[in-house]
Amino acid sequence: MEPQVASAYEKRLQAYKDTLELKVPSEILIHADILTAQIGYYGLSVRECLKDNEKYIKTCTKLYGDFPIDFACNPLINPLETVEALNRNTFFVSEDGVTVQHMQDTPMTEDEYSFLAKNPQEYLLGTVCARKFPQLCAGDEKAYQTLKEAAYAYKKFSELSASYIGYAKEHYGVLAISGAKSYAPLDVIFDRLRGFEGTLTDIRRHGEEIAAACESMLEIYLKPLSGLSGKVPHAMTTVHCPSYLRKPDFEKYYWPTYKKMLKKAYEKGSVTLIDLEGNMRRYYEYFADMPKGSVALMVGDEDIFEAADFLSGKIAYFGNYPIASMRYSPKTECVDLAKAVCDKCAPNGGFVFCMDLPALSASDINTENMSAVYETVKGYR
Amino acid sequence: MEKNKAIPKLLEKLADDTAFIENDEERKSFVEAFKRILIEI
Repeated sequence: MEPQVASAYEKRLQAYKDTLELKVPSEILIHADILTAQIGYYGLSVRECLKDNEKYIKTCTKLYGDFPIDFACNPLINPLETVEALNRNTFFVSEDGVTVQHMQDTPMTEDEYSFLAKNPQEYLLGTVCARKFPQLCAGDEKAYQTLKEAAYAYKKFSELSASYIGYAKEHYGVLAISGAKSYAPLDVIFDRLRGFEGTLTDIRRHGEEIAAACESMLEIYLKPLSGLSGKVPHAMTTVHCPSYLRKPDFEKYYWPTYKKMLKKAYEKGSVTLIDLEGNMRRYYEYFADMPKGSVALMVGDEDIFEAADFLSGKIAYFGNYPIASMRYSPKTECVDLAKAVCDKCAPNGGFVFCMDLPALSASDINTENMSAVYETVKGYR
Repeated sequence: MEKNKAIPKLLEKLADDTAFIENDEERKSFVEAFKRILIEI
């Protein structure tokens, strides 16, 4: 790392650690949350990125030189080639060649929670995966070669993710904060096994079995947290189903196991950054009950000014500038709103300037407005 | 409900396959992560 890049990195790292400890950092950090939009913005497609990894990394990381962004943001977050090697379509590239979509899949039936609770690994690999990947169940060498091809694709995906983040850190001094995926068991059921309708119906009909299944699944989902050590990089969660739950259901079915995951990261000396999807204001109290400095929140659909009233001084938070405003509003309005957000959130510390939604396509990036807003935030005193 | 040992057996084979990843610790850790990915995709 060049000395001036190393210096910028150390400055950012200290500012981020101060933010997580609810102190006022030397400057407000910016998390742009630009995902596949960076691929389109620099004229590439997902396929080109997968084919020419070096070109992809060198091209897309220009983002950190073109804008004053402090956090590396890996645009390819799904192992597309693994999905394809196994003939699945749960993640696929859209017709625009840039955005990636998720197709809901519900390979578990509602009467199977007791099997999930009794032996999650045996049930998930021996029953659910057998339904999803029948070509792996033939018991012949071809099945093993198919699995191995998928495993190689996943290995390549993991290495590509690490290379992108490493290059961004090495050449631009941006922070690499993701150290482990913290995946709450009820979200695994919601996202991967029973889907939206199934999970919400099951909670009414099979509540106790769901609670038992979540408890059993913990063993699998605590494992990724064992490698954590220190504040940065730290655990990260994207919270999905709670925005559709009633508070008593969150308390019974989501929180007990997820709280154990948050505690595990904290006991390892780390933090969990929780990306709240949807409106999660009604759950802030649960996170505030955790030890101070153990979690940070990426505010979801909540109003940032109201969120700040509760969170300020209690929990570090990333929030929550509207991407729609950045795209469509006049520059002066964008800058005024950025100033207002900083006036409200920055003085008490513990705040990172962030967008309310990730940028997925090139049209999500309005260069002039984004530059003006980020310069305003960086110049804020 | 059907139970099938084929995929767990393939994963055991992968966990022992030094041609895939030579280092034992690295290979076993990879296979654990790969199992979670199979559940997710």
